[in-house]
Amino acid sequence: MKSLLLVLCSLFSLHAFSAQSSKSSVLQFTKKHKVSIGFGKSFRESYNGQTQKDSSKSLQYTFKFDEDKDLGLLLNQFSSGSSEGQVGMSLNYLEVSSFVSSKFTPRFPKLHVLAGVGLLNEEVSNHSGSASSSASEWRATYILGSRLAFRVGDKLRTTNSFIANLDYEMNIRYIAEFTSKESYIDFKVFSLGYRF
Amino acid sequence: MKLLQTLTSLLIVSLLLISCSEENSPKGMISLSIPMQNNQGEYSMEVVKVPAPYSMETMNSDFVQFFKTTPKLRNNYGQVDRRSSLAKFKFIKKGDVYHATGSMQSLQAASLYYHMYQLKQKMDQLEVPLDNEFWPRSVVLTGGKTNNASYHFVYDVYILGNYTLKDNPAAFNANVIMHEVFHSVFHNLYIQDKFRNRNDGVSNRDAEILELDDSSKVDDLILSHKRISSFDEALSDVFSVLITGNSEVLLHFYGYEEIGDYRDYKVNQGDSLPHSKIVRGKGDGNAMGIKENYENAAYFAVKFLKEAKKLVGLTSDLHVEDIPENKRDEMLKILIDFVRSEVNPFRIGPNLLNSTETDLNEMLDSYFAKKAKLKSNQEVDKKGEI
Repeated sequence: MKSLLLVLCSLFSLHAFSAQSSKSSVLQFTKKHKVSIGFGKSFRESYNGQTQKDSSKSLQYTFKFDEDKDLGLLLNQFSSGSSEGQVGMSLNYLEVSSFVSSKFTPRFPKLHVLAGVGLLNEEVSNHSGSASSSASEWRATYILGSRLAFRVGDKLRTTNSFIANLDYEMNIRYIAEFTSKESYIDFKVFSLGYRF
Repeated sequence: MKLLQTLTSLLIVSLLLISCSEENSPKGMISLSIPMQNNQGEYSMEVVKVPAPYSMETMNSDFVQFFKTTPKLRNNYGQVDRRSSLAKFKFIKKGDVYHATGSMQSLQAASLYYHMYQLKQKMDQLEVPLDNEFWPRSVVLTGGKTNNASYHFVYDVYILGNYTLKDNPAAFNANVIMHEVFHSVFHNLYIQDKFRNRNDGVSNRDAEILELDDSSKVDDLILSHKRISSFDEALSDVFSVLITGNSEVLLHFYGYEEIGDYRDYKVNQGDSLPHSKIVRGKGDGNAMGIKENYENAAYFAVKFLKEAKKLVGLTSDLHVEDIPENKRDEMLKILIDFVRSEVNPFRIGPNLLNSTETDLNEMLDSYFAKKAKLKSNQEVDKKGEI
């Protein structure tokens, strides 16, 4: 029930932001869309307190619907494997999520906080000797995090239009499953985006 | 923007559906996918049927429970408290089958769950007189010695260590699991006898151990265990190979590199006790080194198997793998009878304080001589009746 309420709240927030966006007649910016690719590390803490560190990669689309606010869609992938003797387990995760991010405070305009909901597909393949069995499942998640973005063009003081539209971003997100106590921390060390 | 709204709405509807579809407490029998070994020690993933646990998250049932760490014996109120460190696991259901996921511990728990269920069925079928507190068995999945598994008799838990070799980790190795299980059966049977004549009717084994107010009594208890440790190890291997019908797998586990083929039950271990003159006196329970202890254990195990085979009407050189299950069950009954009637350090009492391995060997000879005579008399009686 608690998880359903959280989902409903998130749904309400997303639609509220979307509605605000459609009403905005005068936008103060011209480049509303951004596509980014990112690489980083995902830290997964399992039930019994073990932490697994996996490499992750992502593809992200953000839509700037206000000067300080973005609506985003994210595809994030990470995988891990462990084995003991002849027995092993491979895990592959695919996250599809939607989020809203907003400037945290006018003092730090580059720092955004984000909140969202998503789906996480966990695909497991257990193997024993040469035999294996696999299964997968989608799970609902909620996401909280922060983004720190810099305009590459500003740093390089270039007039090249392509470079001027590049953004470097770091973000850290806490991803928790609604129906279990498992949680993940995804830290994108390097994310490069192009505004258009 | 409309596309984004549509995608978001779809995502959220999916979220709602997934949130509502969680099934964590199945009922009846369930199917689990676990690694299983064949007689050659080769693995494959197999689907097994087991009773549903109380919860898929804890995998607790009336025959097994799992802990993250060794349970605390007492909480602040002086009560035995084991719930504080219950382990948790994760499964994905595909069709009717539950697949362990999240971490190797889930797969370990699934495997142990199946083997403990097999154990419960076998113990019930053989009517082994274990006390009521024996079930559920407790397992700790981490914290043991690397490449080993152990039974801790004070906490009454099996503890698994990390596995770094190339073969069969303890959690998936039925022989290793059953070997450790027998240590607890062995302990349970003689502890049960020790306290059977108490007047207050207390039956909780852990409480009884804790009630030993004088710490020297606990030391005595531990020392008694050590005095018969080569027997304990031997009979644990015998129990293990008789339950699984597989003697090969123990060969690949802990110690085989150091101690050689002592666990190869297809190899003749010789006709005489390898280390007969080491005295196991009070205060030097560890006098015998691990190598000597296990070599004697192998000798006792081979001897027990040989004699038990003869007693159930099989040729003594028949390999365990070739013994039919009903005969293995008969041999298991002999093993339980042997432990209950002979290998009881409390019953033997002071005699065992200065016993040697030769005394244990004679105990084995004497038991089988007695049983063979009894069998022979019964056969004569049967012929007489005809």
